[in-house]
Amino acid sequence: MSNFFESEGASNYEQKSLCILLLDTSSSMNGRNINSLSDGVETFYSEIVKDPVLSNRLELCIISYDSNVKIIQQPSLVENIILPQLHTNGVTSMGEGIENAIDVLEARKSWYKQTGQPYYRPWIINITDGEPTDMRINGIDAYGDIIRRNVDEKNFFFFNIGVGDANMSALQLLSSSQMPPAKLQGLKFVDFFQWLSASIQMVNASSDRGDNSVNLPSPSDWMQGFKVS
Amino acid sequence: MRKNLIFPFAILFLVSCSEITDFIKDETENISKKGQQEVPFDKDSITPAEDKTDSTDPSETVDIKDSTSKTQDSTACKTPSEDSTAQNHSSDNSSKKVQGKLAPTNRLQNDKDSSNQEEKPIERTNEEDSTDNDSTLIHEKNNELSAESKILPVTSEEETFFDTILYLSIGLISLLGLVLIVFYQFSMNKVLQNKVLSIENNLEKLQKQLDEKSIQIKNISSQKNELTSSGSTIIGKEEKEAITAEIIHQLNEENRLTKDELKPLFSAESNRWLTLGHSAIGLNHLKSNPQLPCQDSFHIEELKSGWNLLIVCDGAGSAKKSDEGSKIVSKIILPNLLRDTDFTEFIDNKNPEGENKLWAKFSIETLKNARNELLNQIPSQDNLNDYACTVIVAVFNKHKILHFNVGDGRGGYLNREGVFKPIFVPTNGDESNSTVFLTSDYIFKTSSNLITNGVIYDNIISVFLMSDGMEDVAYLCSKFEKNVFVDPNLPFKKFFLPILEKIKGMPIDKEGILNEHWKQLLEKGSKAIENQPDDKTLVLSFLK
Repeated sequence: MSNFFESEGASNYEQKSLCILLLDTSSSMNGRNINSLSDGVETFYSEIVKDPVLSNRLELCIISYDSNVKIIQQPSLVENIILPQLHTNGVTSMGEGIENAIDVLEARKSWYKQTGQPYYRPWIINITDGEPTDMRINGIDAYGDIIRRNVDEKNFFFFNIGVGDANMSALQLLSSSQMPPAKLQGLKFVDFFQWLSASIQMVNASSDRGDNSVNLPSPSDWMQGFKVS
Repeated sequence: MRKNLIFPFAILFLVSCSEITDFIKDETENISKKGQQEVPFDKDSITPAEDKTDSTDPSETVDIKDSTSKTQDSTACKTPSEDSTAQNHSSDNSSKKVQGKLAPTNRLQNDKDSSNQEEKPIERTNEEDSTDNDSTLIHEKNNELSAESKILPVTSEEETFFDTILYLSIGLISLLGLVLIVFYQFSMNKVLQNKVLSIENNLEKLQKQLDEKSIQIKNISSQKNELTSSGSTIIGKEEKEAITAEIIHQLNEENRLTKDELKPLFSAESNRWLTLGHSAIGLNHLKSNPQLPCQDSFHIEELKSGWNLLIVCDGAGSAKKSDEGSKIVSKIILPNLLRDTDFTEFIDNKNPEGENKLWAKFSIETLKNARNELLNQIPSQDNLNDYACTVIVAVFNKHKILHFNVGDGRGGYLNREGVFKPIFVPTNGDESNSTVFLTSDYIFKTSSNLITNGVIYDNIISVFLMSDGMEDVAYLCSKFEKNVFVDPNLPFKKFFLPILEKIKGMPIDKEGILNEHWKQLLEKGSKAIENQPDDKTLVLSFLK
């Protein structure tokens, strides 16, 4: 890094990029699953802290769902965050989790707008090892429709990640066509979260440039193929 | 529908009930009549005193039978011709009934009539006057009657038996019908009750859900309030403007050069413009697959009469050939259009308004011509939008800056008072991240305000243009204070001052090396510059 001129960069208020991690903490996640997930989230956190732009730009929010839904971290820059412990318990209230995530997202967006600041399109990342237990038989379609409508209207990105015995068909119903659900190779959460931070940056940058579309980096490090019937 | 069936069933039932009661009446009459027929036999051995009772009996029976005969007069009138002894079982039950009942009364009728069908009735009537003969005659008559009534009662018994069954069955059926309907109503009631119960249950559940949701909403809105800073979260427009003005004023004050900083930068001998420029590829372009070329381009040229030309073009990320577009426009088309212009003609210090108008007209003409020329230059099968790019043009000398631009990017200068100032405010399509380009045809609509242009009059010591890839580092362009977001659009002193000092301090014979340093600065001058995803261009002119 050479700076012959010894000029300093301005510290500008970074345009905010909200990332909501929607995490399944049902009892099936107990043991290795939840530990690997915690490691992955820690990796994400340190990636952000290291990067001066990201640390001023990315607002992290963590919502866990099991028998209940808890917002364990409100949207906030990493400098204000102490990563919470993840505990497993009970069933999989994914529907309620999704509702909460969207509510938090909308509230944050309206704060951005109210204060007149521009913002990047937010992300919701849903990570599960099972399937929702709080959606009635046709309820999952209703949630899927809400998600797809918001994605089409460019309100947010929604990405479903399946771990272990996750029901990928159910996740397919909750996904938009531009971002189908992905199955994690084993427990490669660390690789996934590295890919995620790079992708978010890429999407934001292409948005800066005014591109209509962007190719995300290859997910081959962490993603495996799956079959849906 | 079911309810309507009750009425006919009920009516049937009531009618059959009445018929049955009539029947029962008749039956009791028959039975009592039978009893009466037997009694006279027993009373044969009894004293004549009892004959009186006997005599009263017939009269009683007569009365009764008269009454019945009266009621059945209408039918009797119909059937007097019929032989009462004849066993006429007509299909009409009522006539049977009548015949059966009338059998004994017919006798009396016949008595009353002139027709004498029986000797004994006549005798009887004659004997009614004499009580002595009465008993024997009555005896005989009663024998006859009983003999005859033995015959007729048989038929009437059959008939009544038949009728009884009929009426009973009708009664039973109608009763059954009624019962069934009532049962049905009851069962429907139960079903409805169950439905109502289940609906009530559902209502309760929904109510619970509603309550939970409203609690959630309360939680989230209270969280929202916590998120936004303390105090009122909604800021009025006037307050916003006041805060904005305050922030900008504050930043400007901090950004001024001090006298000590300013002094070494220029002197009376300063008359030579030294210009450095470079376009560096953005990190996203490097990382993307396939690798995208740098879509920024720039041009530096000295024009006649002491004017200098600076051009920066930023190709649209989504346009396939925008790197070619920005190159052609910045290096060929615009210089050709501007090179031979005598810019002094635009200057009229006494008439700034006229100046601006003249320059505005020229700016728009030049851009129109540039767009047309681009269209000419590209292959006919290509779409003009594939070559989309922004444009920033500055023509300047020590006292004037003539400028126009379409799209984003930044431009500024430093004056002799040590104040950094912006040349223009970048334009976006709307409040989102959309950008305008030279190739956007709507920019030439008079109401668009998307072609910015102007004339600046100041004592200028440095002029610089950049694409938006450099603005985060070199400009104060986004501040967030007191819940208000502001774009100060201010060249950052701590970025530019060291550069100017270094350029000033470089001996003439070593100025060549500045180009290399400039390149380094743009490519990896700092972590932030290096990680900049977008292409970066910075062109700077300094009056040395």
